Amino acid sequence: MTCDRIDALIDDYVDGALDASTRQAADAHLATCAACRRAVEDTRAVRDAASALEPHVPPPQLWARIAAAVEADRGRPWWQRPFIDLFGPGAGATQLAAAAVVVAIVAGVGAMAWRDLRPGSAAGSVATTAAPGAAGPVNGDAVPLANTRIGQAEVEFAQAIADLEAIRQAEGAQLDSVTADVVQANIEVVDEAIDQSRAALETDPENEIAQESFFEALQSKVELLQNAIALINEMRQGDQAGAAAIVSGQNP
Amino acid sequence: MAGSAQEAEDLLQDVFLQAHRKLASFRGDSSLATWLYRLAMNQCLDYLRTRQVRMGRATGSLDVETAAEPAARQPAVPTAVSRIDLERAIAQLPEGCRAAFLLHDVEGFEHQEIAQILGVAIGTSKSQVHKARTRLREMLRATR
Repeated sequence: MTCDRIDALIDDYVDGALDASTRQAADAHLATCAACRRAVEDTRAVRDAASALEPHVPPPQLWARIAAAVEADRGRPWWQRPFIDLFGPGAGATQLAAAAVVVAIVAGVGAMAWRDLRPGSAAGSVATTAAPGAAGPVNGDAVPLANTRIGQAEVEFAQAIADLEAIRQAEGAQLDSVTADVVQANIEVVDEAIDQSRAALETDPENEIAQESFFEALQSKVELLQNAIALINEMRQGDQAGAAAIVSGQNP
Repeated sequence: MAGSAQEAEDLLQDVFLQAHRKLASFRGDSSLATWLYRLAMNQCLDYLRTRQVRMGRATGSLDVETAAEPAARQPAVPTAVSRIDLERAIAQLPEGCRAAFLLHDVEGFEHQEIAQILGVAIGTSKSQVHKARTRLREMLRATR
């Protein structure tokens, strides 16, 4: 068997789709050809990495937004449909009014973190605004990215995320199990993105792409938690207009 | 396919709207999942082509040829390819082979199903996956 023949068969070889005799011939060639072995190993690495990719789970409010769009398409008010029973009347929202305040604070902290990282901003010129006890990284026991603007911003994000997580944990029972599962799946996807970007930054703190990915992931987590809490809030209040605003992607 | 979460969400909404409008035309010739994937892929490819035309770039096609790959004396693809590197590389593929690759290697469809979804021959699906893998090998070697 030749190298050209291996190239033509490489996908079937890697996918295990060759018949026994062709595979045997391919194995014989690979035993003596380092270049073809490398091509096979690389193809296998690409395929394995692709098959391990986690799905991007849509945010929970997207399904409601789609339902609204479908209903609008049918010329009927979407909130009259059974799908949107998610937004049934609930208890009062005293605690969630507090959540709304926290959301506003988080939005401010997030904007500050981003502003401080813009090119041309003075490094270290901004005082840390995180609350006492919020000096850790976002995920788990990772070592803080200390003494860098990124580390400082991460601390600010960590406080904001911790506050939002506390509210979600306390109020999460208000969500039905399907929606809660979707929220949790989204958070796990974002957490993984944070971990990977962070690992890249630990290796190369000045890598702009890694910085961008890291802050995109942090921002996504904040937005995800904000949306989840806003959804809980509107569901408990039975506020159809507020729910409609959330599911259409607007800030109520 | 879209390359950004926001665009993907908008596209998902469009796909379900299209599915809602066209459901009556579903005759059961294929599974409902295959029909829905085909609808989604058509929507994505239409969107990408429109976007590329708008941006004044040449549109990739299902028959885009790739340069022959010099096989030897190159750094290997890292054995643990990071999700970020892989997704960036996939986003740079021409849309035809990107669609076939995503359906085969990420979603796990067989070539026969991909042929139905994309409306191409089985051989075209195989060659597109081959081209995608070859291009990705080249791009991911560069990340090492």
